[in-house]
Amino acid sequence: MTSFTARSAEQTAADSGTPLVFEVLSYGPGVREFVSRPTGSGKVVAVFRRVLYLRELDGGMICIAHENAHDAPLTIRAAIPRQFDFDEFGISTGMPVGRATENELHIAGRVVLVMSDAAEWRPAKVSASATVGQVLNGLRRVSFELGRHAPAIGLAPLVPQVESLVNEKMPRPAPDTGLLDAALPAVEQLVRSVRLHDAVGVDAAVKRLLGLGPGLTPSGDDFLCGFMAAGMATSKAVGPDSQRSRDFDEAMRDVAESISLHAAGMTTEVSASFLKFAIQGITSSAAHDLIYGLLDAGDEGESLSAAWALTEIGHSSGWDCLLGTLLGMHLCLALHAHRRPVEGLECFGRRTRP
Amino acid sequence: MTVTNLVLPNLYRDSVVLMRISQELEKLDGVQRATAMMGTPNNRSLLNDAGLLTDEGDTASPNDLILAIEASPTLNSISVVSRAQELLRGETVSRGPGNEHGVRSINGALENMPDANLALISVPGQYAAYEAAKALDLGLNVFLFSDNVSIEDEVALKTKAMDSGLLMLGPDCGTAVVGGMPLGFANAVSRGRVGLVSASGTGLQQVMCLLDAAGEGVSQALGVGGRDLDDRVGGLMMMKCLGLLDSDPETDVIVLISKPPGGRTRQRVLEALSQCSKPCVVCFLGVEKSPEVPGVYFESRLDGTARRALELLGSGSGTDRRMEDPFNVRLLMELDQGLGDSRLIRGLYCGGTLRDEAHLVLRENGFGAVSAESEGPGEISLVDHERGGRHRLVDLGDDSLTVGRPHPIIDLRLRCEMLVGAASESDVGIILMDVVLGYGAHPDPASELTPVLRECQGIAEDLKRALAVVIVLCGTSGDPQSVAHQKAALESAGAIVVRSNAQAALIAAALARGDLSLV
Repeated sequence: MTSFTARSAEQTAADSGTPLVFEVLSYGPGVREFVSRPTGSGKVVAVFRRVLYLRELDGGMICIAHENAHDAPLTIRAAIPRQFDFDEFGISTGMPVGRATENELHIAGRVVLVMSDAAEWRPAKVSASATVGQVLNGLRRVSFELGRHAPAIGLAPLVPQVESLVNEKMPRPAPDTGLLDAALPAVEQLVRSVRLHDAVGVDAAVKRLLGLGPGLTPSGDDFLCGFMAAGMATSKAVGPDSQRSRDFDEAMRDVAESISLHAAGMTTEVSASFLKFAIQGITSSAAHDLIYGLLDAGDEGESLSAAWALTEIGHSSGWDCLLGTLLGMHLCLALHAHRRPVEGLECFGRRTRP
Repeated sequence: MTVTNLVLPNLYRDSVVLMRISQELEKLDGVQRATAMMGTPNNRSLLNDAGLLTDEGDTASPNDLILAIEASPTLNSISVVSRAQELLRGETVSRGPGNEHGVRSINGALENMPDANLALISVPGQYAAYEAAKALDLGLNVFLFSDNVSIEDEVALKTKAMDSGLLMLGPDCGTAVVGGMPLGFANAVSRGRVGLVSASGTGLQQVMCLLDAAGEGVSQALGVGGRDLDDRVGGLMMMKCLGLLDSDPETDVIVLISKPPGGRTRQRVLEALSQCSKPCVVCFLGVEKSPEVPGVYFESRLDGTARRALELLGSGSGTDRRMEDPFNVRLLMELDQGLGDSRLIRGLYCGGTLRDEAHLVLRENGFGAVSAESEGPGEISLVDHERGGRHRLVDLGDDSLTVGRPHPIIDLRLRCEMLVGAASESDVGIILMDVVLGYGAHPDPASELTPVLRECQGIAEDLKRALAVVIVLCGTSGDPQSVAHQKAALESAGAIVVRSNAQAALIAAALARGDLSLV
């Protein structure tokens, strides 16, 4: 067996049939059981340039990604160089996947993933040091700075409209695409229904978004992933000490329930697998970096960098997730907003007085 | 129109690949629309709303790919479907040419090169501000080559850069040399003691090349974009660069080059100059009268600017003639005799500043009032009261002439067409043009120009008059194109070739007036 060191080695190895060995760096909670089990098999269901999707025999989906990829619930991130190309190496759909030994996963006899030293990735616990005002300013800044450059793909054109959407003011006209024409009323209905704690409205909105848009993970799904992760994280940071918090949490549970009920029949199995974790508040690490950056009142540039990094996932997936993330956070804060000014600092979960 | 749906079970493809396949299908004769989506209920509804869903497509499951095609009923649907299947088989992943390292974004590039501190961005104008903003947010200085960026975006980008302590060179910045590193269209110049900041790319190149010809080098050459001194931008980056050059230990003399700035910005720039600790030479092209500012020397032309810088360094004088080239006087006399009454000038420039300086020189030498009318994009003209008619000077790098095509420094086709057109005008006898060398420029401009120049001479012979071609060759001996080879080749096609734009314009003026004493 040969370790991969360079592109020419990849081609040489491909020609000689020698499997390449890569160490697994981290894995998401969705593949923990798979990693810890000594046996298991499945097949390759999708091959992209730097990402592979596998389906286990029991139906579980696994994503294999290169070393620079973002961690995510279903992702096994391995020390695969960024320039490695699965397709060029000869991996194709239908090829078998199996555990040769307790620590090794063999993919089509061409790639071996060694899992002995891998660590599980989970999003870190939220520690919020920002004030509500700081977070809102950060959200506005990201929405504005990225929004002015939003491409006309997926739901990206709605990124500059986040505050308008939260306040239920009619946003400026977005580019005229069939996707946006369908998505915008659904997003508005979601916002309204969460505000009004209307479970029926939430269910209808979720059903309008699931599976909506092109790609393996449709735009509506990516939006919901960001929305759930951000809404739940922000709500945890705010703390459960008010009726408003409890209402918001219940609304989020309504969203989660609707997703859980309908995803399987309404979207792709890969996307449904990601949504299963989104309803637990877990999505791509890029979105979590953004959420923490905003809640932590750290360097403003870091939040913007995290936002830009998120937009680079997939084709429109990153932008769609960004919209959901910004909207989820903003909506949570809007529903917790105090109507009268308070003395002293207002921090998440507590108030301090001078 | 007929709609066909191809349902491919359990087929996953990259979104960009699917988009490309749709675009390929739409290129087929008879295909009106093509789109690819997973067969989720909401997507089937989208397709239905767009009139692209058939009964077959409606049976797709969420994990199936639907390829929906609308085409002329006379088109053989089997051939379209088989072409679609061929594309799907052939394209399993998206690829980009020359992208060996798989880098598709600034983030990706930064991962590959984490110590990078500058992004050079050259993408179509509609995407340029987006990429530049991203680069600034990632802490990178930016050299933005792209033009067709709105002035609002330019102000926003420069303000963002200032707030972050970064450089935002551009948009429409063609030239810079930063820390000895040439960027964009830059010439191979030695390191030296002159620090330049410019709102003009070719103006910057001309001064650098003239300094190089006189044996002096450059510490930094910072292009700030052509509109920086417009009052709407307010000289944001010019101020910053002046400050940087003033504190740069390698810079002894500062040179500032620009077209005349807006009124408010001019005042701000003068105030900034008055604060500089080093001597400054300022060329607001064409502006002769300026307020006295201690330590600041105003020149109205580029050659004068270079001379003054040399003088301040103690390595030249106001009468320094190292920047002027000897030329074939006999040829000049023959041309003067052969032109007859055909003495109108056609100027074909790839640099706006060089065109403007030529215009200035012509005016200084008696070519009457500027005609306010421009008769074409990038054109200014001068009325010739003596002979009648207009001398026309075109900036081929004008935004309106570069949408969708490479800059004329790289792509000579438009210029070659216009050369032949000018030679065919019976009252045009003088062609004045620039040939700009250096990194990023055409690798061998003489190879394309000399056949055309010979063709133009042939046209002139048919019209029974001479044709004078006067060229300013803006380059250095270190440039990859070999300035000596370019000069020899262009002269072999009958051109008069000099290194100073002002000298070239003066020669043209002399021929136009029939007064060789001007040179």
